[in-house]
Amino acid sequence: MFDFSVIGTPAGFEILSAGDVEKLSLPSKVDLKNSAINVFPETDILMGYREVINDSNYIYLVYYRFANEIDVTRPGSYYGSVIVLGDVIGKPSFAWQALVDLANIVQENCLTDGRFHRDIKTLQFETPDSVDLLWKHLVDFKSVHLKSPSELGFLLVGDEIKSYEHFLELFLNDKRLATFQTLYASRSRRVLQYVEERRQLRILKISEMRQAEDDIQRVTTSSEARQDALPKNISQISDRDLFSEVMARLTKENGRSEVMTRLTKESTQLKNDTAQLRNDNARLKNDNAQLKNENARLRAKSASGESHGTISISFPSFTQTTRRILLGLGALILLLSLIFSFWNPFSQSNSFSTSDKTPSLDKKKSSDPIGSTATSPIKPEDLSVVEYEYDGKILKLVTLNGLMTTVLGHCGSRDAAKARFLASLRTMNSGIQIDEHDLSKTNISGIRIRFELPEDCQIAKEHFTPINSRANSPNK
Amino acid sequence: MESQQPPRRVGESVSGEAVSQDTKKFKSMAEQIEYLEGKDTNYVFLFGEPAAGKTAVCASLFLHLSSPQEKLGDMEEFRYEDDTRYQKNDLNLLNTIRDAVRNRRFPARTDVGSLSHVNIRYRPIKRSKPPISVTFLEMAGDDLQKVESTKDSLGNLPTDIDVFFKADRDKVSMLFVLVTSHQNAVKNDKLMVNFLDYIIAQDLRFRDSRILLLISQWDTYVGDKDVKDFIQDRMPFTWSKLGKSTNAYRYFTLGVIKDVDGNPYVAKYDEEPARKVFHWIYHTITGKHLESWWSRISF
Repeated sequence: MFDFSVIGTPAGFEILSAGDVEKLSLPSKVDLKNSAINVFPETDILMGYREVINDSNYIYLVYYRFANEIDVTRPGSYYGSVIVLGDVIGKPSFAWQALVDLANIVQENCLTDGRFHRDIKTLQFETPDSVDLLWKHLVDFKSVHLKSPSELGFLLVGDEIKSYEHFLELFLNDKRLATFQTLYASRSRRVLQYVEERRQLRILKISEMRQAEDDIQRVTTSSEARQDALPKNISQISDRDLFSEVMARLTKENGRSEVMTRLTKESTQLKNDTAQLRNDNARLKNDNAQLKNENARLRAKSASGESHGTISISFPSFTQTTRRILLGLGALILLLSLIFSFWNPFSQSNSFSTSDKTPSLDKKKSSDPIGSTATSPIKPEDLSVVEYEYDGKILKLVTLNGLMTTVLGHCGSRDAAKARFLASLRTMNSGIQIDEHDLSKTNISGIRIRFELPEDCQIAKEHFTPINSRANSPNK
Repeated sequence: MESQQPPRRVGESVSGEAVSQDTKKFKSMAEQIEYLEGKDTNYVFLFGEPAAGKTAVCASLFLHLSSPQEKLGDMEEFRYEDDTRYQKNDLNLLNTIRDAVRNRRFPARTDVGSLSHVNIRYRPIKRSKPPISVTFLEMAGDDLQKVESTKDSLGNLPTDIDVFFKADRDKVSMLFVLVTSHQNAVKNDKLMVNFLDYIIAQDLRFRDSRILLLISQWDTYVGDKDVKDFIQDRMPFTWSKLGKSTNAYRYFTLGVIKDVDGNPYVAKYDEEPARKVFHWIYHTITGKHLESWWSRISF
């Protein structure tokens, strides 16, 4: 859907549109919100506004220039132009030129010395070439984010934002997350001053505007970088690939998108890695069995006293004691092996390191981030939280050593998500809990899924207490 | 992307209805009506075309009621708990437009689709006079003038404005202040009548509504008629509609307006019209006069 209009306030608001004004309730959307921002003589304002209507993304680009009304002189009167993009996206430079050309039509036909002399409704004009150009270069676009965002912001053009074209580029590039519903930009410091006085718009810098999108980009980028760092001791990954499932559902619900495509690719890569790990695990099981056989053979030899004959001859009573001790030790080792094989339900067949195939619980501690929670305190460096927006809610993916361990919603801050995760570790005696929202229906408790982590995701250590020292915490 | 070309000629289409977004904040009109009926206040509905002076009237009232010159009582600004279901900036609007006039500037035009509930509570100093709660309904003239019938359509108001006329008249106290500039009085005669006919069509009990007609920008009027003759002459149909003792009329002005740097500047603020308007509102709601009998000036 593509639409363009000219607007102004010759005697109250008027709009002349090429499309269906009524359908989109354009007047109330594109009229300048004087309570938040105002246009003054020799100033102009550009607004980007977006919303979702019936699963379609609409982007409204509106350009305002000051003009006096026919009979009245008062603040907030203007003329300008509107472009509406429904599920399509256009080149910022073309969009900007189209807005200027449309506004110039009003200026040339309805204004004299900055004052309206004619109603906009009476205008008739040829579509400018720039509008044609914009229309011809539109491409389909479906946002990941199918909820109307709510934030309002203002950017001053001149410092960070070089031009209105630059502003449009930023606004349209923000499409994937659509953090801001309404963004205004102006070159005028007088407009900025008005905005500051009204306090209804956030005065933004580019970094703030881009932050949300950068989060997603970091997630996908760090995923690529971490392919080689995938832990080698994942022992049990369910056949049901939660990640693929969630992504598939998101994709189905939200439509095609670049982010989803990338994440789905990541999911496929993870599946391949998982298969590779299964092979490694099978090999480790064989090695484990061989070691057990070797162990049994040594115990048998020890029990028969073949290699300790001299001692048994010289110290018969001691040999008897030693035999009992060795038997007891063997039984203890077997018991411990049994305990540790069942202790962590997610790594029961892989209690050996991959490097030297020697039974080593210490190796397990260092390489299995989940298992480590029961044997040693979680290190702050091990735990990270990634925020992700889904269905209008902020989910927090708590990750431990690069493994997604839980998905939490309604946690408030990242620290809150982290605290809740630690509490769940204690109560569940398990490193994994996936709860809330639709994910609760997937019944996948016990699955470990690798998830991308931003490399620079830091944990505020002062807010973090290792699990062992939180045992009696009232905040459990 | 749709395949059709953008139209080569623009201008054949006409502008459509502006539907305020406020309605979306309620699940249904019934819920909105319930909300309005449950609010313990007296609504003051300002009606007029764009730039008639509705916002200026409000601004001047707020400035007068919060100025030291108002000796008869105190105005308290407040927000009903659930007022955020309407616009969040109601008190902000009050402060914005009041400050504009205080700083000798005209308040900015009200944007299309907005509907602000500005709540005040007025407590007279004399204990014998009851306090009142008043909610001024500030909205764009662009939306209000949709009530006027055209050759293409019957007059209609946006839903969230219209809801006031669907509510039970016995549960919602409402006064009307009709505002027109003296320049557009003739043109607005039809608009006012259309509006009055419209609300009566919604509920016959609106026949008994209390209405105040204000002729704004009176400071720029150069004729020799007083306001009564002016209305009878320029707005005969409206005059006949208002011919009841419970209704009233008068002129309104912010004071002496000059042009400074291309902008209107309130060179001398005139508080008297705002004072008179508020006293009429108070008297209409309570049946009691704020002023003593000897200082009263009849409308």
